[in-house]
Amino acid sequence: MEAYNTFFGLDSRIVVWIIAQIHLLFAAFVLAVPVFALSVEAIGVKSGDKRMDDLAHELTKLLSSAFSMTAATGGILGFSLFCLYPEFMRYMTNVFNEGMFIYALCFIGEGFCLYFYYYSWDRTQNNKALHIGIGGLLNLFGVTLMMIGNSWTSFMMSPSGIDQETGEFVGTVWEATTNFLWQPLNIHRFIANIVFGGFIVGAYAAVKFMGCKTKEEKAHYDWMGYIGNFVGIGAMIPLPFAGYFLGREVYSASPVMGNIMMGGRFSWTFIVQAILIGILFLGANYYLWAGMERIKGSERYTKYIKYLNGIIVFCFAVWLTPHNLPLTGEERSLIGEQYHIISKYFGVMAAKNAVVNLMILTTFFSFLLYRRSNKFKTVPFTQQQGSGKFIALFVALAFTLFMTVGYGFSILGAHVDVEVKPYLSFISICLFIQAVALIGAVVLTISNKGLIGQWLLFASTAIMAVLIMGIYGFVLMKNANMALRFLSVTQVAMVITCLIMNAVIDAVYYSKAETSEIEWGKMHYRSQFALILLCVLMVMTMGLMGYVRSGLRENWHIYAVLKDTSPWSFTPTLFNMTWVVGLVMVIFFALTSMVFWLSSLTGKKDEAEAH
Amino acid sequence: MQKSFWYMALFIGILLCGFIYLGSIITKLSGEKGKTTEVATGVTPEGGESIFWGKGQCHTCHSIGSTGSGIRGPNLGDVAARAVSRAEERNAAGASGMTATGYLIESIAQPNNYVVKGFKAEMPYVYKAPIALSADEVKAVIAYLQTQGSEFDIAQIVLPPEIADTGKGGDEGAVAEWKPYVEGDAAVGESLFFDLKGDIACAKCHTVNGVGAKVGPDLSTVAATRSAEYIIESILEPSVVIASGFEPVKVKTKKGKIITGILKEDNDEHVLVMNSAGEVTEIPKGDVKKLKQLKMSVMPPFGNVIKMEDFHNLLAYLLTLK
Repeated sequence: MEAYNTFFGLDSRIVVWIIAQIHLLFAAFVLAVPVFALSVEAIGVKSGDKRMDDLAHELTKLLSSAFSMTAATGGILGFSLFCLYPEFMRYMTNVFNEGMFIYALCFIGEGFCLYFYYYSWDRTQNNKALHIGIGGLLNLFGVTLMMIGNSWTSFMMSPSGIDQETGEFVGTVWEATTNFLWQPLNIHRFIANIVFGGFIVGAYAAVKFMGCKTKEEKAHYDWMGYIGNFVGIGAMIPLPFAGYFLGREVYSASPVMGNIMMGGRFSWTFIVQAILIGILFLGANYYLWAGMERIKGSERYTKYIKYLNGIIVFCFAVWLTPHNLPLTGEERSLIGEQYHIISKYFGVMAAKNAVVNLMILTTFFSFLLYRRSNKFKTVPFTQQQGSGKFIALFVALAFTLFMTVGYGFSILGAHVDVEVKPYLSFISICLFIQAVALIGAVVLTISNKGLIGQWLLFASTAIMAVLIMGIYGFVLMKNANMALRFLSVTQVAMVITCLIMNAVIDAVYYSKAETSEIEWGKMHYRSQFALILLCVLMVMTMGLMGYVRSGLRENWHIYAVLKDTSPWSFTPTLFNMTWVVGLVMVIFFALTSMVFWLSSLTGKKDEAEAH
Repeated sequence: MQKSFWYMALFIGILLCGFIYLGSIITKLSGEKGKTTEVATGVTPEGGESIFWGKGQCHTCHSIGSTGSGIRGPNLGDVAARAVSRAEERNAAGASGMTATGYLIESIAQPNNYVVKGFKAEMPYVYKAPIALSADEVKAVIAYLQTQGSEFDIAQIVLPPEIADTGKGGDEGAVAEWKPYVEGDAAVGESLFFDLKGDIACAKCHTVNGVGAKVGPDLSTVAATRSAEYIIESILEPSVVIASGFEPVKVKTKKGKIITGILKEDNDEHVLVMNSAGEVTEIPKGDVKKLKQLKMSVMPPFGNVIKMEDFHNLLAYLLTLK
């Protein structure tokens, strides 16, 4: 048997790359949109808002055509792998034998639930529990499918159940499935899929909005765009942390692979990623600020936008600064050292971690301003009725204290060199101070000073997680490199706790406030391009990160086990990557437009019948 | 079609162009290359240097003086000088007769035996998968490290069995060492190589031990520096990897004349281009309007020309050239 074949003489790897990426995008779509639709439907049932139910139904309509496309591209991917890489697939099928059958069965299950969920919508209006149950099952199948697929790709990166002497697979399917990188990849992909789903819905709404003829339609699609963006941004905030977790585990799985990723061949890809994510944050914030136009009372906050914009642009600039600028000998002698004076400081992880956290805090602050725009006179906490607000505050406090104090103690107990210990003590102290700030914020909220509580928490997080730890990162890089990993996690923990607690305080503080009407539909066309931008950037980022994840294996099909001896076992340049991902994007959007058009035919039929 | 759809398509098109442009800028800035001609190695400090900064991936953790950005491992500038005191330290701690070179060898063979203070025991075994350097490549790297603060002496580099036996089986994982599936006759292959009237006639362009033309690379020791897969690919698809120094170019003169061939020299005075017959054309620099590197090798692809039997005989001969 030949180890490799070609498809009409084309580069087999590029063929598989394109098909796999298109399949992945559709798979992400059909995984994310049901999560989205089910959540929206459940909120609609709880709140009694009919708009929510209609939105969930409209989204599900898109799914039925998208599901067929996912199946078709998955089939093509399977055929192309078996035809072009038969030896590799023989190895994979030997390892995952039964798992592949389970995958196929789950796919049937997902298909059944999806169509049942969609076609039974009207019939189950009086039995929402059943409908939501089916939706839950649909999501369960979807997540299981994603996890099984992830086990194959993560196995290729960190194979388990291998005899290290002979390279033979001697484990079980379960051992191969639960390989080292499986869970980090599952978490990262699940969150990323939600972001993607949100932005796809946002882009769909934007295109529809621009083509609307009536005020009602405009209001509907403006609102849909807002919801899509809200979900996308909401899920995007924890995404860098999930990405950091995955990256850290890649390093733990193989220091060689980790070094290639962050310090070697792929380090430049993270500059591209920084540019894409930076623009994504700017676009998301711009949309929020533009959305304030539709809210009477937002004038109170618009004056802050320019400062927020300045902070985000600054963070963006630092994030995309590379550490190692390629300098000529003359340039180096002119500077007097290897690194440029700016890139020397801004190009390293200590600075980048600080600005990423600041960017997340700023975006969250933008969201809070948006949320407050239509809220006026509040009811003091002590005068509000009900125990729900206490429960919410104390659950949030317990969770955030668990994160800060728990992690603080675990750092103190970490097994590291004696010289490193004092550095860790300082990090723990910061976490304990954050815990005190969290308690203080809750106490202030209960004392009718919720806003001061929020400011306290923002200030403590920005000062410690961004400023102090940003600078401290340089100290650690010089004196105790090993402590850096604890520092990054601490920064993340502080920012997350700040976000959670401030969101809860905000909800409690404004729960009984006077509100003004939001004029849905009163949005400029420009803002709709921000929604499209977010979707395009997300597709690009997914393509880029797929290139990194797959490329990290270098010339191995299965890392350190099965070598790639084909003529294509080299890493394509970033320029090649942009061409391939660009082509994938064009094909994906063309197919998605077709899916949307097909689903709109049902709508036209319904309208015709109504007339 | 709705106008909004076209607006969206135009907008996406602009973003796409921006993305591709970004890729081109960063590729230029970083100097990264896709599939490239590998630099010649051999057991020399120069060969070791190219492995250190390339295939061996040593640079992702180690810097050399002010060059490089690796910080996970110690800076290896002057490592050979430091190795002297380290060896003494190790001998005092019970190691028997360790030399400075012995310390360097141990650092690669058993990197966790001695870990420099302030660093973690996380260096991989570079002679095992995934990096999988060969014994000669490891030797070359050690020779390069010997030059960092001292003089190199390859005779002193005696590798322990775990490295010396690398490549004799086992370390390549599930993929077996390459073997031809038809045994060729090297003697017949040699006659095909030098038969200038035959269809193959490699000697029209290549030299072996001083015999043949110099249009293409000298193949006297090709099997010592190149894998069998590389040689096969070079015969069947010579344009996939073009040997360094034999890149084909197209020169357009200001009078509109086009000259193609292998670029032999390009300086302020002239450009020298050699055609497949070995004739060199000199073009004054002032006459050159455009010089473009081509992707197609001057060597014809033999994939559709050579008979299977001839191919294996020729291959058998080339594999003897060590």
